[in-house]
Amino acid sequence: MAKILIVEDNEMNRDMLSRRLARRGYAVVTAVDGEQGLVAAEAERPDLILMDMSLPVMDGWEATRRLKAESTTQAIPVIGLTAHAMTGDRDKAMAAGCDDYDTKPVELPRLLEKIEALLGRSGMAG
Amino acid sequence: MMRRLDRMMVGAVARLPFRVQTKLLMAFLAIAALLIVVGAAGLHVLTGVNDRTVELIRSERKIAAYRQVQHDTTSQLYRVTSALLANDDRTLDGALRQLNQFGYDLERLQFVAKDEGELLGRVKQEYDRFVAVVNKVVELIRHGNVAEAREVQLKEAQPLANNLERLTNQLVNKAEADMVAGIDASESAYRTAKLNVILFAIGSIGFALLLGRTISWSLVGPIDEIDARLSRIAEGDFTQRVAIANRDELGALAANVNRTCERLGELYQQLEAASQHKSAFLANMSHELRTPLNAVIGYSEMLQEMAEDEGFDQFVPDLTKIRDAGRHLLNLINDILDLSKIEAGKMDLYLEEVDLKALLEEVRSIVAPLAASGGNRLDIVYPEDLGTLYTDRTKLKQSLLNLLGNASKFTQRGRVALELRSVDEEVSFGVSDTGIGMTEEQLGRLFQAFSQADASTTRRYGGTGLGLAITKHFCEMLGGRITVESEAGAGSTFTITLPVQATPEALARPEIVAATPLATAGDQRALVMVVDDDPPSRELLAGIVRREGYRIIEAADGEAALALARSHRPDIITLDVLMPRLDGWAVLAALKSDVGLREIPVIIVTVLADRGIALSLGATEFVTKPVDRARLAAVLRENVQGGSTVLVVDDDPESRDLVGRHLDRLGWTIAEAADGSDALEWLARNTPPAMILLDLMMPGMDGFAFLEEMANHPEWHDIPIVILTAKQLGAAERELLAGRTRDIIEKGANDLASVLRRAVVRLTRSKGALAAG
Repeated sequence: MAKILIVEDNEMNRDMLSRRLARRGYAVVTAVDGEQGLVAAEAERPDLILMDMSLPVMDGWEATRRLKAESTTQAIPVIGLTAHAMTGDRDKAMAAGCDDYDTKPVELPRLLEKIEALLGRSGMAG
Repeated sequence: MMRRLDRMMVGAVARLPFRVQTKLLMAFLAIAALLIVVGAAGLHVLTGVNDRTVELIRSERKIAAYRQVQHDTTSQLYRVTSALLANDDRTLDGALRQLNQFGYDLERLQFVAKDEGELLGRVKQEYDRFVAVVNKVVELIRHGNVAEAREVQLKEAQPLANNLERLTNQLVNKAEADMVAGIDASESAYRTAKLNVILFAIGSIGFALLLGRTISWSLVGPIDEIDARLSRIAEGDFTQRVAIANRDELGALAANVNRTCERLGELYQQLEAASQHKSAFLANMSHELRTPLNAVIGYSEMLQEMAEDEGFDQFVPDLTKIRDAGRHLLNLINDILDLSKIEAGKMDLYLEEVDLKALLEEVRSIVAPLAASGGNRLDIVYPEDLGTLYTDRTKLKQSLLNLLGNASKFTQRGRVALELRSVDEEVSFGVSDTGIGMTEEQLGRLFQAFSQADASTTRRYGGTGLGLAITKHFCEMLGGRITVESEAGAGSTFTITLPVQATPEALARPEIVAATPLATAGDQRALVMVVDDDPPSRELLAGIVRREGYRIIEAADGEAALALARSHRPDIITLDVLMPRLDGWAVLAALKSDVGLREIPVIIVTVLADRGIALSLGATEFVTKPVDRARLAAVLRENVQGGSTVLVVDDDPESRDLVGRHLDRLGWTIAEAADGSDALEWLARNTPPAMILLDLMMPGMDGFAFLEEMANHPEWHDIPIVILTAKQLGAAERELLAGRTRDIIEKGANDLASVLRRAVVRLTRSKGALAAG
């Protein structure tokens, strides 16, 4: 059972996403800002991280950059989530080290495809 | 001097508290008065000349009368002599008649020469005696006493005649002398008068010109000034005021312009603030609205899934309605935000090579379900050898989805088609349907915001009514256009035509532009790499870098930048973000993930306002375009190796050591120089230091001479210089230093450490900001 870390400051988004992913059989852990996200990633070693980009304390770009700079966490795939459907946001997310990117509101089937693709890839790599 | 006087006069006229009209009238009256005075003076001179002429004529008449008297006296003697010889009555009568003539002469003399009373009196006396003698002679002759008559003639008449001649001669001489003096006086008076008149006339003309000039300048100057100010206001500069001395209508006008300017400035600020509030409000509102909407959509979707899974099928249609309404509302918000961004000019373009085939297939996958729901057939037709288009992918996709979405919406059981054609340097996307079409009138307001063809359309077909307005804006932003053909009942065809390259300049091939020779031995100046795809921007940046005394390499795109970074190991990189293919973010990520390159400071130079993101992605500093030269120079200086160096110029080793220890504690690297020429040598060999601490009293080249020398090197002008001296500085010296140095510290100050800290606080503050970022 794959473990997914959701880093999202909005409570309802966090609740929805975690419940919907849990219904599909994933183990879900959550964090509410970039710093907590880093701590949770270190402690929980999830198989994948869903990272909101606009977060308090430390934003998603910075958190992702730090995850990717740390040898213990850099192998964990990160999907960046932003509310803006701009190409620039996608590029910035990818530049920060995100492995994939999606926009909010989440379309679950599309997000699940991306999650499964990344888990399958890292599973093979691992 | 003259100019100052001139300004003073113009100023004085300007300050006169009269209306312009009054000033002009006063000037006119002054000039008229001058003319009258000049005329009167001329008249006076003429009168004088006339008087003297009359005087001369009078003298001439006197002389003529005197001569007559002389002539008549001689003539009388002659007659009497003749009478003595002839002794007839006729001759004697002639002699007596001649006496009468003589009487007339005398009367005439009394008339023309009244002023010669005394002499005339004597002439009269002599004359009376002469007449008596002549009568006596005539009587003697008549009585035949000729011998006695001759005796009387010789002894009495002759001396009297001589005396008369002498007296008249005296009169003549006097009159002639008067005449000569009169002519002289007249000439000199004429000369003086002529000179006076000429001088007066020249003076008057000069005064009139000066008056005219002063008055016109006191009017023209302020008008020019007001005109210049109005031009600046038109350009949006509300800060300056018109400063003129006038207290007339122009003064009132200037005051009015100033008041208007001030008011406009206030309004402009309010407007700007309002616009910012509006933008901020829209961004906030969109965020605030999206968040609960996301919850509505998400939870309804979730409930829908649960209802399906757990067999509550009767709830599914209603939950679907909630979700769809939520999605519709979300689209509406997104469209309004897009439109307001477009209208505020804040919609950014992200140009990239777009793979058309992939884009069309993505569009097909999205539109297919929409088309199918209305029972429509979807045809997407394109030639096989479809290439790429250099444009904004998201905006093109959104435009196509808008058109295809509309086509599907307004067509039932028909055909919706997207046909792509490539013509010359343009690509056209034709979206056609066999739907309800539009009338002429509907076509007219088609691309206006919130103007669906018919109010009832919104209710029947949904949609925001903003899609076409946004699509039109997008097409124009991308250098293209959108056209439409339609017939009510027969369907519509919308055609988007875009250029193959949205901005041709941006598509520069990867190339190394003007890579300067590699470091020569001993050249320790820092190497700066400038990365920018736009040649003019690159040149501008390169110019700044060169002027600051660095070596430079340039790269026109991301790939070249990475290659050059590996081969040249620059000391610092300035990086543009919006570049074709590999953009700045990607280059930054690649640099930061390369162990050999990650230590190189990267300065993001961009039109975007993503400072936070740039710094969090590992950029060292962030500079917005258009680039402020001084800011970029400072950023470069602070971040190149050795940029945290302070050059201490002092002949006393102990003093250098002391200052060095203080600075070392503050985290600065120290370079030392023993005098001015030593320091200049160091500057020529090294990257400019963050600051120079300069002693003034040194053997060899002293501090003042060093500053003079620095002034000849524009590339060093931005280096802050702090004077550190034991010398008591005079006011003149302080003034000399004030323009060139940032601070003056006296040696022997008790709190040298804190003074030094204060001196470098500006530099450390900006460095601190970097570290914190």
